[in-house]
Amino acid sequence: MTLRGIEQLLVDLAGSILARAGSPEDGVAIRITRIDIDVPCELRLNKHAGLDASMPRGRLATGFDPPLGQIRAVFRVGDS
Amino acid sequence: MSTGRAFPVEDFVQAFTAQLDRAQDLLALKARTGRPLTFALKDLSVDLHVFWEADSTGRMLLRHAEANEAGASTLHFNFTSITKAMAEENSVAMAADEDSRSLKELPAAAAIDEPTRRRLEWAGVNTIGQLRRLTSEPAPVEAFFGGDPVQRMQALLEQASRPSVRNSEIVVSHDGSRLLRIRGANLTDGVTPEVRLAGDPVEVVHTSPGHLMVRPQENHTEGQLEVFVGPHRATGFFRIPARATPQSFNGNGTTTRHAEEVDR
Repeated sequence: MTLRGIEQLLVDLAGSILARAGSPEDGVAIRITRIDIDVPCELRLNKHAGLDASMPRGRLATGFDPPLGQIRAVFRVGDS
Repeated sequence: MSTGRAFPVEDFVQAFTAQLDRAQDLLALKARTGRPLTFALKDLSVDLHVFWEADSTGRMLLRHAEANEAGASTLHFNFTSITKAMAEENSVAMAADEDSRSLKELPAAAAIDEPTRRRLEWAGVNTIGQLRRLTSEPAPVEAFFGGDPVQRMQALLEQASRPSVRNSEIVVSHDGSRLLRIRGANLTDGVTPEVRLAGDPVEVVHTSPGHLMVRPQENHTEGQLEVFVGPHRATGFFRIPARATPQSFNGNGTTTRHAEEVDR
């Protein structure tokens, strides 16, 4: 996995979840109003003192990987 | 041996907050580009494995733990979003006449080094007016930026305090006469400036740092616009459409507006 700014990872996590499904034609529609994400994550301080992040390497892990941190994020539908 | 660089905690928090702001902007952008529903980040907590270090001044720094480093601390940060109303409640409102030019517009801004530029960004200082307000109290600035950047910013402000002309437009007054509104920055130092259109001095009807209102003569159609404020001179270009043309005129930033705006 490639390290990138944590903001990009957060946006991709939120974007990976379907916000709503169904329609009046289907007879039913649902929408997600809140997402709680709790994921282990590789986190490193970048040269600007911010955080770079990537998901855990899984099967690609080696003995030289840094300890995993944790991200818990709450997203809600609505104004940002 | 670690290769990670160590940072003061406040640098991390400021940089991280800026990243979260960008995340919110990116999420909001999705809503504006047509997605019917979008999410906003409301709460976030991060566990970060770090080692603490101290620099020569005793300031505590943190760096992330590298592979196979035992004994790392776990820092647990909680962030929550605040509403616009809460943000406004905790910030100083920008004065109406504050200089809204971006710092990037000034050539001298290139002399500001990257760490100082980044700290300005963290501090939310993007315009000359905000920088001027910040540097009006030297003590907190020195604490935030250190001595040398302060001198550079003062030089930047000195350059920023010179008059500049951004654009001009024609406005029609209630009596039907036409006035030229000149927009810019530092267009007066408290004394009515001298304004010349195509080399001719003209009557200055209204002055404020952000705009001037002058009365062009009948023979003024286009040419150089000069504003003299103290020892400084700012220049621009004006173009006045023919009187028979009531519609807006788009050319070199000169437009026609109507009477209700004249007294603003």
